[in-house]
Order: sequence, then C-alpha cells, then structure tokens
Amino acid sequence: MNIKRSTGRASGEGDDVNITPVMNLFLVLIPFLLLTAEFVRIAVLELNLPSTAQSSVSNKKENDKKLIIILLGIDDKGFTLKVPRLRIAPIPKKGEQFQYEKLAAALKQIKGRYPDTEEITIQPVDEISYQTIVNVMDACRDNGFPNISISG
Amino acid sequence: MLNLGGDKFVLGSRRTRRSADMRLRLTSMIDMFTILLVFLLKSYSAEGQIITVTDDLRLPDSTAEKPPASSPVVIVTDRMILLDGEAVASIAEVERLQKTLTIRNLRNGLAEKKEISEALGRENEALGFKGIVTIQGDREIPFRILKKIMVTCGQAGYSNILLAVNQKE
Repeated sequence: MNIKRSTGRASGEGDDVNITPVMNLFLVLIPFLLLTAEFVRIAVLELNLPSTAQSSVSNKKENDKKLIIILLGIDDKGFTLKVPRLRIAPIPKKGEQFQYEKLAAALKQIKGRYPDTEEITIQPVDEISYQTIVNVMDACRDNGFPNISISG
Repeated sequence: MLNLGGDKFVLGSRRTRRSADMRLRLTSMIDMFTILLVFLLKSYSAEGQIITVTDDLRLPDSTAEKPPASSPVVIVTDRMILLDGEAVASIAEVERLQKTLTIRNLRNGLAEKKEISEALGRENEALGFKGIVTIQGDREIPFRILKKIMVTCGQAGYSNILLAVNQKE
C-alpha cells in the first residue's frame, strides 16, 4: 500500500517506468513483422472432377443405396436446381445480378430434406465467369454441401 | 540592448532548466506500436507465401479458408495459360479450337511434371505424386476456358484441383 502510493506520487512527478527495453523490442519486432506480413491472403477451394466424383459415387452406391444427386445449373438466366422428389423453382437473375441469397435459402431447404447428402454437382454454361462459379461454390459450402463437383 | 540580452539570457536559462526535467511523451507512440504489434503478430504466418500472384491477375473472392498446398500451378490470365511460370498456350488459340477439350501443350507439361514427381516418389515416399494441381484463374475468365483446363488436368492424372482464391473476411 505504502509502496504503491509512493510510486504513484513519483510517476506523478514525471519519474516513470524505464521503457527503453520495450522500445527496443518494438523497434526490432515491428520492422520484422511488417516485412513478413501478407496483406492479401490466398486460400484454395477444393474441387472434385466429375470423373473421380463418379468413381467415388459408384463406390458409395455399394455402401449405401440412398444416394441423392443434386444438380445446380447456372446459365445466363439464373440458377436451376434439380433434386430428386423435390420441386425447386428456378432462381432468375435480378437485373444483371445473380440472387445468391435465394440460392442459399433453396440449398437450406434441400439440406433440410436430405440432411445426409453432402455432394452437389454444378453445371455452368460456357459464358459464366469464374467469379460466379466461385460464389456459387461458396454458397454450396456454406449451406452444407462441401463436396462439390463441376460438370460441363 | 541590455534589456534584450537579459531577456535572452532568461529565456535560455529557462529552456535549459525545462529540458533538464522534460521527458519525451512516448505514451501515444507506445499505444500505436502495441496495436501494430498485436495486429502483425495475429496475421503472422510461419510458412510464408506458397503462392504469389502477378499484378494483372485478379483472383476471385471467396470465403474459403483452406491454406494453399505446394503443387504445380496453372495460371490463367485473360491472354495466356502458364504452367509453373512457362507459357503453354494462348487464350486466343484455345478459343479457336472450339471442339477440342484438351490443351495439348498443357497436358504434355503436366505429364512431364507427373513423371518427375513419380520418379521423386520412388526415392522418397513423402515427395510422391499426389495428383494435386492449383489453378490460379482471373475472375473474368469464362467457364469454357476453365472447363478445358480442368479436363486437361484430369487427363494428365491431376484429379485433385485446388482453385486459388482471395480470402475475404
């Protein structure tokens, strides 16, 4: 108690902690970290080719008979979803924009119907840009379909 | 004159006295450094960058979080297709051959890489062929180009395709 008060008074007078080692540490660490810092983070999306997907499909068919194939078509009008025994209305573009929110809602609905299915096949037409495909893959991954294959 | 000199003297003496017990106010600088340090330590990765991207290549944005793996890299810009930094085909050429799905030079290049890594695999298990290829594509390239590249990779035996993307928060 006593000591605390006395140091408090001393620092009030301007006689404070020796910060030189801290500054030294900062001056070494900050340039080093700035040099090694990555400001653009790069990640990767995994993708199954249809050929390998097919072979894994046939393997899985032997294991369990209840395999559901979900097809997600992308064309210049919007998204179309083909799901066995479930009717999903096509999701048209709104102006020039694809409606990813509606796609996410539809995928959630499918996931609710088939909770064990993790495979989805994306079928874009030739003109669809790479960014759109990646956005759709993101929507699929976020809504419970991590095994994505692409077929042309 | 005398007065002025006296003033100067007084000022000077006051200044020296002040500097004797004046301290640099470092608090705000230390605050700043601490914030910087925390931010940089948080974003620090020990592995370094496996993939570097050229300036004219704009990768698509994605929420993916998987870190990149070291593998052959196919770079697709809006003009050229490159395999590990070597040009193998031009986009115009690929567009012209509409019917063929395989890009021959790319397939040959990948086949060579496969042979090399299989030979390495015989020496050391850990370096063996895993069939992983990374595609770095510009966000604007159409699917018809991407499709051909994927088919070519598949034919060359590279069936695990990783798409490089910009990680967005």
